Amino acid sequence: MEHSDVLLELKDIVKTFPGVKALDHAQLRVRAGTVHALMGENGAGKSTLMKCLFGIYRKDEGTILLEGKEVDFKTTKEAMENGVAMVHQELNQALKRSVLDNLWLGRYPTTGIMVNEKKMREDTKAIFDELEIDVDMDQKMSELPVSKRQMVEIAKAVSYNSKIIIFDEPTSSLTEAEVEHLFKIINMLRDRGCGIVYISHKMAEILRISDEVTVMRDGQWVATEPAAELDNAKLIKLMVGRELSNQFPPKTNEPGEVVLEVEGLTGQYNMLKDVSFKARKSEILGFAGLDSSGRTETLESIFGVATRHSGTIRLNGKEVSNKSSKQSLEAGFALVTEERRATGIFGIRSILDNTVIASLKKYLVHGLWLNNGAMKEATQWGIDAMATKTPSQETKIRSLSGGNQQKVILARWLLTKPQVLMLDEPTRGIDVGAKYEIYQLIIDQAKAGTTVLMVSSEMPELLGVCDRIVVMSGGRVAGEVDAKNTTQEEILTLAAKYV
Amino acid sequence: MSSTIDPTPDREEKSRQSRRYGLFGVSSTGGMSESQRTSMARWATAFVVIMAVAFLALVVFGSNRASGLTVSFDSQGGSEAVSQSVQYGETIGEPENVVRVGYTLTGWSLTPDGEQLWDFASDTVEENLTLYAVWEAQ
Amino acid sequence: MNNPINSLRQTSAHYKTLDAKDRRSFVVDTLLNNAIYIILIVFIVFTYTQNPKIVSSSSIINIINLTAASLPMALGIGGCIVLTGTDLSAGRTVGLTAAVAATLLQSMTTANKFFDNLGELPIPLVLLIALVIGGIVGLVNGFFVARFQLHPFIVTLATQLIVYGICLLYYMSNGNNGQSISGLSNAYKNCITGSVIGSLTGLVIPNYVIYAVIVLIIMWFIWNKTTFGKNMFAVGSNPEAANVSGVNVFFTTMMVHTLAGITYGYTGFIEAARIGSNTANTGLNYECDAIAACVIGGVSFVGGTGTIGGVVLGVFLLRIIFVGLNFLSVSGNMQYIIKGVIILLACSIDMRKYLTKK
Repeated sequence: MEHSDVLLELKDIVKTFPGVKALDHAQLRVRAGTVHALMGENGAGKSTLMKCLFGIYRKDEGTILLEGKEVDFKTTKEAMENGVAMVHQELNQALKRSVLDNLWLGRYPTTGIMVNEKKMREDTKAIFDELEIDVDMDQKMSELPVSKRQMVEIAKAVSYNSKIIIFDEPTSSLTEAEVEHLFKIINMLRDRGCGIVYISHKMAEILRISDEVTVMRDGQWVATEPAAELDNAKLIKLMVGRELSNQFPPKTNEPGEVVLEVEGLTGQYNMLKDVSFKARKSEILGFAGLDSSGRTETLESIFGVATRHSGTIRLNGKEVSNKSSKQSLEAGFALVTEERRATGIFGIRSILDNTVIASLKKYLVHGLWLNNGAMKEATQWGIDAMATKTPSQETKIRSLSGGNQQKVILARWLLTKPQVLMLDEPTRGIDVGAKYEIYQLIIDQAKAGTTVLMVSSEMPELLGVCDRIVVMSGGRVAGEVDAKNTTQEEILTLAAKYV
Repeated sequence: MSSTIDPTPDREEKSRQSRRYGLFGVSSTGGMSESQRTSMARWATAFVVIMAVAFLALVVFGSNRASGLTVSFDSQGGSEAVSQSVQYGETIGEPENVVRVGYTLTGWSLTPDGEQLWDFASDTVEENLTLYAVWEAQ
Repeated sequence: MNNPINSLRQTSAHYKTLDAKDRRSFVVDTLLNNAIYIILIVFIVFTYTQNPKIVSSSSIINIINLTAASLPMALGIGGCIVLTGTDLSAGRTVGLTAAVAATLLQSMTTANKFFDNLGELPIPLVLLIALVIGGIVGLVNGFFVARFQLHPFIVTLATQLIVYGICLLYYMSNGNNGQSISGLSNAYKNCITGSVIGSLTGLVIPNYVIYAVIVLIIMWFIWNKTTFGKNMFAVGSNPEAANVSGVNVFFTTMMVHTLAGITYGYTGFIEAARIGSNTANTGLNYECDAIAACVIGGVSFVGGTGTIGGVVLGVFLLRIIFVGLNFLSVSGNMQYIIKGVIILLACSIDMRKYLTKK
């Protein structure tokens, strides 16, 4: 590795949070004109390292060299002005404002005290054209799908003339086609001499897009290798420090008779149209499809969080009304939502409170007051069964990692003893080791007689865990496939049916 | 697909909106960098100290032991009565020579309607107050 | 509240594990987080040097009485603050319920009786009426907040005005012409301000202190031991997640406000007898003291946190300060400024905790 073209170098970065050493002499060296992938399990310190660079966290020790000069950014604005940009995992944007405002917020081009609207528009158009982004710059941010919002974020990075652009899990909510477009843009940026840091869990993507890969484990640097010399097995070995022979646990559940029948589900405020399917006892039914094909909406409609226009749901032959989450809960349904932070966790409350909230009725004594002992017992069961890593039951859930938060939420729903367990992207943003544990939990639940409906954007996951897969397209059911005898190509063809 | 709107932004925004209830707008601190956070925390620390000192200073300088608590008298149409200064927990003397043509003074009350009569022998003053004359027509 | 001795032991064990630098910041943090208690101690010592009577039994009983009078309302408002809301209608609702309670329980011999031909009503019935009126105001608040997701600030601002208007009309009605209502029946006065404890032990602690303790126990039970309490904290912490978790957010929000309204009704019932002579200004600005007490007691506006013990402590501290200021003969004008400073201090501490702890 020649030293001359090293654009960014992070040396011996140490960052300690109360009780945790998040970064322990972490290293990273990014060369100009390359895509450098940063890998590691959740909690390995990838995001923390990038946040130290980007000025969101202060590093405790270590040096950051940008083009050979030492830098230490105090705010994100300072970082961006010095050519370091970050496209966040969870986008932080002013959703009520237009695309234009979001691009130029905090640095509107001005003449005197007036905002120079014309220049702003011209500059924006130039950038959009260059990146082949098709976004109306006057549209409100909240009206755009996640993928377009991400494009705006990238355009913003480019408009700062960034030399280093960090992508933090950029593809976690993108469809295949959108991923292609993203990669095209990344390649374009690379050719312009930018240094790209690419954080992701998806190994196939990493091996495809990146030139070099740095692997981290427990806040420490493990290895930096050229991507060409790596494969899946080798990467996993580096990441977990052990061989992970199988990504999926053996399927031990055996589907029984039909218990759930959904007929003609049509949404009042969403695009769901005439969705019908049947699910069996002990079956894991997958839902595949592109982004906004109606998978999430199907689950939400069944659970009563989204309003139904028409359609019937029958459980064990009896129709259930499921008009609100409370009714659905009582009818034996459970829903683990996609957006953990927005609709899953109660950040400021303890693990205990987060675990028992959906099953409070079970701990009532004489229907009047709650039994503390029983709640603690249930919480402990949750922690043990999921192998959740937490100091105590009283710990606030927001101090846990994403994977552990997800385990707490799963425990919350399993405690309601659901007949139908609905999972919306249950493994999003969770590391490989924890994923395996969650697959195992899902299969165990199915084996115990629960019907599992599972939405996922990761095709291998659906093929590996599910029995059957319902493919959705444009709010309709495009087809149903048997997970054992299908291919990714067949699913993708179906997914494009009504687009 | 193009005709549909991704439901996530709405939901996210709704939840942010409901979070925005916080009167000091603290719920949106997620977007702050650690430096900004630290600097804000430093400001808060400074304010804790400043407010604590201000409180004690105000108490010390505001304490008015020399002049004590003030009891004013509203003669409600009668002749003027001089207000009195006493210390907390002390009794006061009944004002003298308060008269009104055509009426007899029946006592002094905490309320203008003469409901709660003040007992000058036993009632003690615990705050600044006004006593109202209670008249009976002759 | 956890067992204080146990938590103290944990803290000292934690302290021993720290190194020198962490120890210093731990001490500084502890000092700052407890700044309010520290300045309170300094304040009491100063007041004592100026006027030793502050630690006399009569002044302590006085403080306890005042705490008991304003505690139920603070507990009600505390629930609204847990939901990241607030309630400005509290004081005026107290005024209205106090007026109703006073007019219904006037002595038969009072000259300007409000309801001329009204016989002697049973006291529990009037209490019930007061609670229902308070509850209705709370229900209206809760309905608008929950159904339209309006900010409680604006909803309760509106209901506050409406309630005040109704209260003024009530005082004008029946030929009363806005005069104050007094001449309450002896049974009513004895029930509230009489002292059962006093007749047994000689300590003049009025009955409403006992009632306040009962209300306190009920509220503690509701907050800590019921599904409703758990749901309230869940909604305050993340309403979206609560909705998905099968919590009826609408019902919970509405009930929290209704419960708050009921505590105002209760406070009005007590205040009518405690004050003895009620005008339309009874209850004015009570909500300010209650909100301040909650903030001092650690019920954060961030939502989802707060304890009953904290609220009690907050109300108690605020009362000590108010009584102490009178002991020091601080002028009324100055007292307002000092109150404002205390609230800012409490907010700063709350903010600091929020910013430094992840």
